[in-house]
Amino acid sequence: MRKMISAILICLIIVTALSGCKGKQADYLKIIDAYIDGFSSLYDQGNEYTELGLQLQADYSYGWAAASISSMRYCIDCLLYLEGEGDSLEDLVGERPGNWDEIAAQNYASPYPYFFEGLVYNSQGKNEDAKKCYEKALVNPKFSAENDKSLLILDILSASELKSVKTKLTMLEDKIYEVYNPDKSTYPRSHMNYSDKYLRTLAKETLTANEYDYREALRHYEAALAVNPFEGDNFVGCALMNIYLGEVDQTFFYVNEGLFVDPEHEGLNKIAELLNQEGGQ
Amino acid sequence: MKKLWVILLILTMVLQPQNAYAASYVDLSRVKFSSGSEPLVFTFGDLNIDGVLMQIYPFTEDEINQLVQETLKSKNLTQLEIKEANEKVLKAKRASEFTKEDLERVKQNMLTTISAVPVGNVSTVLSAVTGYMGSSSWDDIGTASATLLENTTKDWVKDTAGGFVNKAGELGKNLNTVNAVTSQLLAIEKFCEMMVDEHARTKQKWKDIADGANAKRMLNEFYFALQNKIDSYKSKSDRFGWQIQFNDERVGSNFTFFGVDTNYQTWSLDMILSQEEKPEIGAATGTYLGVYSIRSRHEMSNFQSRAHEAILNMGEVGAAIKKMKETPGNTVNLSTVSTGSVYIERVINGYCQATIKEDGEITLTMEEESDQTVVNISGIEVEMDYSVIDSKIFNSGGKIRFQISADKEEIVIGGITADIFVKSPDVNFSHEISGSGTVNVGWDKGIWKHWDGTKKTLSHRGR
Repeated sequence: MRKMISAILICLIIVTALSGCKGKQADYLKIIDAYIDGFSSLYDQGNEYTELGLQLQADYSYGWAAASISSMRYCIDCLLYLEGEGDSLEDLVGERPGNWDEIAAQNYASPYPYFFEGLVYNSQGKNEDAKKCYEKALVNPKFSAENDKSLLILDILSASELKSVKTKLTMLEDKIYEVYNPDKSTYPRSHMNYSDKYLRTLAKETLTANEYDYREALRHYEAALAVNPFEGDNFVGCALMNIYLGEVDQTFFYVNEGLFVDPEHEGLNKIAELLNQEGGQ
Repeated sequence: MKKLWVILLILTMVLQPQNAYAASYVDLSRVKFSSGSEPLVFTFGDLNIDGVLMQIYPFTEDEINQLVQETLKSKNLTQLEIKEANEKVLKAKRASEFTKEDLERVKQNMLTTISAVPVGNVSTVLSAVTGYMGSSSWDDIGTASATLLENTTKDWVKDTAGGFVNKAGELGKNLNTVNAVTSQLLAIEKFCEMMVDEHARTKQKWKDIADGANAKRMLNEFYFALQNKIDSYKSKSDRFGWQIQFNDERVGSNFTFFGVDTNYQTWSLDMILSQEEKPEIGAATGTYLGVYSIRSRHEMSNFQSRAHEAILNMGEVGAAIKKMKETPGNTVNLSTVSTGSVYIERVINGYCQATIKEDGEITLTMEEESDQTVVNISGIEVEMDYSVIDSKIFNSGGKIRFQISADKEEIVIGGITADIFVKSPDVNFSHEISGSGTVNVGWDKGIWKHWDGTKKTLSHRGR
């Protein structure tokens, strides 16, 4: 009997000790949590914009969060696969986004798809490919070289830690995709796509090459608007191209929405003035 | 929803002065008001009676302002809050809806506007882009060519990226490096805010946008409720349509009765016609059906006090008196000794139909159902004092009193009493006689000259 009690006590001590160890999270995991919280705040911001009826801005925030979170989660899937988890990568990914280009296209403003793609290459020892991806992430001014390098610790996490992080990420992914379900973008991925100014220049180049190629120019302007729905010039581009395409409703949509977020924009005001004058005739 | 935006647009463009109207901060300029009422004139003979063509539930600014007040109350809003919301949304000069043709004009106008600006030899579309964008050109870099893409990867980027590759390796080998990274990172205050797009806007600007959006939403809800009320009221207004109304409307004029002028005749008209056929919803055009009743009353004091003049125009009696007066040597003096009382009233009832055309022309037909005249003349007495010189020897004379009465459109002179005398050197005869006979002397139909046999018309006043 005494032996039995002693055995139980020992078991209890062991269990208590083990559970205590399990509850103490490694400090470096706090970095991951901080990022997840940050991405989550973008989702919250998207909700706020939706609540305010600012759908373009809501899509921007949801897209930013989705591109960042899904790329981190896909990175973890890849790392888990490299550590021998799952029968195949597809098996680990399941129904979730599992293509860097598709993930990045949700919002090219996020630098994280390039970063996490690079981290996977890094883990595979494909350092040249990793370097190219890191470079592309670093070109984006929203990527902080000083802070974001800390995310490299993903590469040293154990499989169980990775799984734990993945659980948090998939929960957030589910929340986002519940409210955000955009059409798949066909706009080609480029590391410069974070810049609306660059995308506007592409539109201008399109028009320079063919003055009547409004549709293609509009595609660039819409891409610019997607990565910066706070800049009046992007609304101007979309409005103008729609004028030339004869899309009345779209013209008004872009002028109205643009003035709402950039009320002082001279060009938008001039167009609105013209539209209002004509509307009053 | 589009309607709301249209109203919002106008709301942001047209702010009326405070206190100008009850709904001064709520723009209603796109609401198509009806006139509510239009003045009409009913004409018969030389007389005109004013009436009105009016909507039973008028769709005028006053009514809509009332609806605005009700909506404000139901939404627990004040004019001041609407004003403040207007100001917040003012920045969004929302465009109104119009057609593709309008858009084509805008396009041309834009090109014209831009062509006035020297932009070199660039094409029109590009000049539009340049004209309307604040930073449409990539002047600092050149073009978005492949070279540009290559050039974006500057040396520090390459170095840092290389460092990342190496850092990942170090992290795997050395836990101290991991800890150093961790402690450095976790020291950053409000780490999550790093994710927020610092390129975007200051917090104040975000707040402005959020405030504007909230104001927009509040106004949306307000205008949605208002629109519902307006639609509901307009539906009722259209359903009940228009009505032609003459509510005891009057006109009067002097008239002459049996030669005595300055009697006064008053016509009062009650006529209501309701819109039966509405070719255009909400419009006043169409066919109207209804009833009318016109009443004529008379003020006859002149006739009464000057009955001695009137009697001269009363049939054979009047003719005889006139003859006596005109006979040389005769002296005839007439005087009214009793003014009595006179009551004449005529009431005509019937059905009527009117058609109002788009150009405003009105066709009116009236079908008489009844026509009743009440006449009560009594107690009027006229005395004739006369003397007749038959020869140098005889002269005769006397006083005759005529009683004038009527109980229909027929004056009766009767109840004659006479006091006659004959005088000569040999005779001094006087005798009083009286008779109960009567003489019908007819009626002066001139009293009805405005109504009988005249054309009746209905028209818009001023047209």
